[in-house]
Amino acid sequence: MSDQKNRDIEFVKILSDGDSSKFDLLYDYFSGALFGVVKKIIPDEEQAADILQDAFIKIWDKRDSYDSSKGTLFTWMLNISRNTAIDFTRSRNFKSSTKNRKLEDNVGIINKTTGTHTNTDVIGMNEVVETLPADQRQIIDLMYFNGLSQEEISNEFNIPLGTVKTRARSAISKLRAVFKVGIQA
Amino acid sequence: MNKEEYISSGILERYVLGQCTSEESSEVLRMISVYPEIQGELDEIESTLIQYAATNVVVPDRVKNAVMAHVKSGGNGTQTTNVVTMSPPQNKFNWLAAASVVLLLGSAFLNYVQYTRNNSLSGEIASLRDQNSVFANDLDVTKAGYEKSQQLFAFLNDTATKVISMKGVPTSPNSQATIYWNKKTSEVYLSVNSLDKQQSEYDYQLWAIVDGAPVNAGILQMSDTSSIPQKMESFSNAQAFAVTIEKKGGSVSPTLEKMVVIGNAI
Repeated sequence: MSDQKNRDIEFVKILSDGDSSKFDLLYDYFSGALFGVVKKIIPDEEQAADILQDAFIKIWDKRDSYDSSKGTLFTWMLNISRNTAIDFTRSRNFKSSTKNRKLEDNVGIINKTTGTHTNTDVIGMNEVVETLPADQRQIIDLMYFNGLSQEEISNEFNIPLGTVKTRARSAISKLRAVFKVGIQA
Repeated sequence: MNKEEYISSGILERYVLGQCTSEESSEVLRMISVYPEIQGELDEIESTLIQYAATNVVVPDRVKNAVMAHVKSGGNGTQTTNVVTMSPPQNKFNWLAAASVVLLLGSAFLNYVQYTRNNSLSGEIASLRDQNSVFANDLDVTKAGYEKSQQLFAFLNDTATKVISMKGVPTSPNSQATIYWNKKTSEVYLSVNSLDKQQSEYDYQLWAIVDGAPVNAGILQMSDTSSIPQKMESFSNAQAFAVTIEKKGGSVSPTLEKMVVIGNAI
């Protein structure tokens, strides 16, 4: 069985046992990615941190509702985090200047925000991520960060569905190569 | 569907991103039980996506502190137990005291029953809510499909929509595909009548010949439903349409010797 599968089994057990002393293992593993997702939806760093906190509290409180037959643990946590963030953008507290942003503009923001914060540990990695062709990056970011389906992207941006699917897959296989190199280096 | 085709269909990516219907999710689990290698593929996709989102991200420490404080306070039972002290019964009222103990025990028991019932009900509510969101998701997919069919029907029915039959070239005489091109809206749809199945490292790519030069018109999505017209790139002007076999992901310019069908648009 894969390491990841074992890790997931361990994490799921922490949730089903309600083992509060070990919840920090889940937090440490997933918080970076989930914060990355939330920040793409809520660019303000402080607000995004508050939303991530809400999302993790929901994850803990709703831990009994995770069902492994419906998806991976990460998928479940991703959905909770993304929905918490998207709900917030519809609330009154969300800065009104950004409220009526259209989807197209969001993509621009996605492209801009990645790369502005430079963490010295990952400079090399970031440069490689930037080499992903813009058209492939757009598709994967819309699916991942905006939660759009491939059909929605095809309709909204007038891109043939077959092209959307191919770009999504190419993007992920390029990223896979990037992160494999990144880990070894 | 064999293992390679299944992996390259892109369903695993959609599964990790939470975009599968409940049928598709069960199918993924079924495929993993038949081909355990698919699990490895899924793991790699997931870990790639986790690393991708986490690139250049620094989570403020205050979040972890607040989350762990909540987890530790709520996690291991904060219910305070109420200790009921009873004063020693006076002789005369022994029977009253006895009755009150019986009542107290009875009420405690009922409380307990109510409490467990509440717990199981809230569990049920949570699972119903989950189920509901799965249904809502399925419904969205169905609705989107229905709207798409309606749009497609209107498009095909439009008198401005031109039907162009792309016939097989001498090297692949049995191939055939049809273009539906609306010059008013510039929209182009393509349906596959007969194209050989491609190996997973190749794609069929459509080209529009505009003023003598081929322009990419999108990659064909080949599936069981590819006889249903699929939307391609829009063109306001084109003299012909052709399909070639290209490497996976498409090419910038067509490989002309790998052309399979062509049709005149004028």
